[in-house]
Amino acid sequence: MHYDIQMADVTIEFALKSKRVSAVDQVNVTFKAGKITGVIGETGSGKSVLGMSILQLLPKQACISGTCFFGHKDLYALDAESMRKIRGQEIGLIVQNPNEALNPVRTIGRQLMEPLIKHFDVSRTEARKTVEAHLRCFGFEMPKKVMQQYTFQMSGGMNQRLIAIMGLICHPSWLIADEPTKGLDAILRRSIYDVFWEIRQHYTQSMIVITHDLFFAKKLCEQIVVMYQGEIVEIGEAKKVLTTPLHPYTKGLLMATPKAGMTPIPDHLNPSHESRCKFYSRCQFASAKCKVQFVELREIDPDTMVRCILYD
Amino acid sequence: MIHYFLKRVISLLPVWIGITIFAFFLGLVSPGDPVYLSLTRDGITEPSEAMVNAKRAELGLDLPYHIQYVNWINRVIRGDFGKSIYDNEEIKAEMLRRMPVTLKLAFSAFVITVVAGLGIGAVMAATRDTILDRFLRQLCTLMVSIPGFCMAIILIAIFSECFHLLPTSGMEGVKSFIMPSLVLSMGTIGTSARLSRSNFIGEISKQYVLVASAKGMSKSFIGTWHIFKNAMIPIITFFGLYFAGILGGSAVIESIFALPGMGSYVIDAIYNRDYFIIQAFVLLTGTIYVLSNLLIDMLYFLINPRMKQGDSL
Amino acid sequence: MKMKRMEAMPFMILGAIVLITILAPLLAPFDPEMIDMQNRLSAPTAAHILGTDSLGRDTFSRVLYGGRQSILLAFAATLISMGIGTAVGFVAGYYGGKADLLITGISNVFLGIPGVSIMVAFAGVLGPGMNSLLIAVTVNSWVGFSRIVRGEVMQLKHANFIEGMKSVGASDGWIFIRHVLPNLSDSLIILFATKVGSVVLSVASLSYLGLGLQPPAPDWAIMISDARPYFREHPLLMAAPGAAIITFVWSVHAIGDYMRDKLDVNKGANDAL
Repeated sequence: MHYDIQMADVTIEFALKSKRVSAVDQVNVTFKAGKITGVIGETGSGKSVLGMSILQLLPKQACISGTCFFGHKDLYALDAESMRKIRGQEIGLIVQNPNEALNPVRTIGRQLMEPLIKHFDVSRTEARKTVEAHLRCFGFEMPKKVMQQYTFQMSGGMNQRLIAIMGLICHPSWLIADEPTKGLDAILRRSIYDVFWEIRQHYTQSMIVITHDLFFAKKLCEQIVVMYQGEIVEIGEAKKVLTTPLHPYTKGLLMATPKAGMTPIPDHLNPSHESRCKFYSRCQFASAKCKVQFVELREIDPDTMVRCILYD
Repeated sequence: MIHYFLKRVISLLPVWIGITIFAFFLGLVSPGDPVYLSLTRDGITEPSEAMVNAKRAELGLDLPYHIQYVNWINRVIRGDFGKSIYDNEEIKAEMLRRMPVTLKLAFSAFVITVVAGLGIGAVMAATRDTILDRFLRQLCTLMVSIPGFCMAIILIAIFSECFHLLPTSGMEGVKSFIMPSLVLSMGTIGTSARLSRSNFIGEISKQYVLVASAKGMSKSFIGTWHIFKNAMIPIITFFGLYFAGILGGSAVIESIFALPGMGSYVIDAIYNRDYFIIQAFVLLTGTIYVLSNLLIDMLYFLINPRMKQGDSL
Repeated sequence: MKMKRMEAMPFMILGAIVLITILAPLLAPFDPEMIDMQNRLSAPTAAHILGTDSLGRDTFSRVLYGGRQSILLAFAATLISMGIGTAVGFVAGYYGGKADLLITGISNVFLGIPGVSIMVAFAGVLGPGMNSLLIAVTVNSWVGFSRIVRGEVMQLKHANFIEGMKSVGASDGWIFIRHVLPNLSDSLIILFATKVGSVVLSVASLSYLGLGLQPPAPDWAIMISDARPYFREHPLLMAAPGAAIITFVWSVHAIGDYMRDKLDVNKGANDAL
């Protein structure tokens, strides 16, 4: 029973003290089971907010509208207890900042065992065995010792692997990874790639990987969703999107990678109020047509969608 | 563990010596000549200069200050605080009789502070920014603002004079400690609840809490097994200050409720200008405080795994 | 930032109490120490709107006067402590080394003696009254200020702008007043408010026991103590000064809380999203 995650008309706003800030704006997307979908975009594009909303892990100030169907369940409409049962058991999460993601005063073993005990009601001995097996599988040679230790006794790479184990210990059918490579050096990034490859081979093929690391996305993902200021601007097959991008923003992102010479996307090319296209002010391809025409996400072929009038 | 214990002892030793110097200094600056006072206690004798000098030599008060200090420390360590100027009783015996009362009172007030402070703090953090949270926050500020003696009068009026449930004063077993320890802990409950609230809230936004929720752990589980211990670590370091406040405040509360503790003893001593008792009181409360701090340091060591690692040492 | 009405309340109440206390001689209908045995323990009347006490003194006038000594004492002692603590803390934090070691050692000793013990000790040795309270409070309070200042100065010492100031030859005093003090002002104000509140409370406790301010001075705590025997028949005698002291201390603490919350909000604003 591998369900897709289908989002329809998802809008997420944050009610701050004096104003409402929109983080995700009218998103329609289907994450297909059995595929790794990468969600890319700059910081603040709403990609993490979108990912966290699936597990209802946004702060209280967040107002979500729209639906997110997982099978026949709307994840946005679930009560706390049903949501709790989904978390970890059906959809797991792998977070960023591995060094801060584990409880500093609780042993690693306990933290890995508790979801097993909570979800499957297994005995401590059984849970311990399962955890040991997973630790060994992810390259910890002395699992018994690691389970007695604390997160601050681990290296960054070890913590990253522990966080991955934490996400998949109950063998969920889906995994969401939130910026797994953020703030890591090249060597660690490489080891994370191995971790994900391991997960893909042995645990689950259905993943949403939220990242701004295009290189990582290219190596791992099959489908790519590009977000800009809370909107999806392009959806397509990973190879296509990351080699022959359609949307000017995706092109800009690719130009900004180290390989392409790190050319930044320019700012303030055009006065932003002139068009309803959010990228208009930074777009090199902006034309008079942009000022009048309403832009929406349109299908190019069955796998590809783009939000730009260049492809009308 | 032993290494850490010794380290703490060594760092607290100068503090304790400082306290003894302060107590000794109190004896020096007190007006009136203790020799003269002790000779004229009966109110009849008018001592001659020779008698005063002889007594002074007998008490060792003609020696240089640093030698007097060493002599004094030597006696004090053996528990010899001298005799009360007022009634010529051994201070040691009286203090030994009264210390359990003060310790019981301070300890029960401390337990109430910890339990109520953490409890109210946790409730406030869990219901953050709701009406309950705002109400409790105002209540905490109010609790810190009511003088202990006002609260004592109110409680006595309700529980003793109106319902005849609890004794107003004196020692009648456990019952006698209920109101005094409540009054004594009131202020520190307010302070510690606010501190706990902000610590709990600080922990709630940490990433490990998000990770635990994402694993499908329930709110109550996360609160009990994840947040609590983390929030406790910084709070524990304040326990020492609370204990000091409680110990000091017990002097006033003991007098109001006429409990025969060290505090009411010293308050009576002040009326009588009985300096040796005041000196002994300062020294004893300081020592109890230093010892309790040592205990708290050890607790901190036990609860915080980072200490065992030796990282923070 | 504009304050909401609720947040402004403690400031207004504190202002009102301080004003009334200062203007008490103009506002009070009677001399607070005038004894009138013909009129003792009278219920509220048109002339004595809060009645009179066991010596026939006007309760209302006494309440108006009742904060003069303890509030003045609290503000004066806390200001002196703040001055001493700030200077000492700056020396310890800025120069470090032996000076820091010595000052920290002494601070630890004073932290090691419970505050009320110090007050009791000074009241005992110097005799009860304003002077011994002033000394005791100062001896007891400077440590809190010096610790905050020391910590902050140690953090700031290596900040780039301070290094820059030093390199262009600014004097240490100038650096302190222009650059360190402004960074400290919020935490100092919070501590100041907390201290004023707790000093008024502990002075009141000692006065209540007869070890602080001395009768016949019109003081809230002394009034409460005097009213104790008549509590059941004349609750107003105790309630009036009790309400006055609680309101004053509450307003000071509420201001401290407000400042603390504001500081927390400012600190936490960056990681809101």
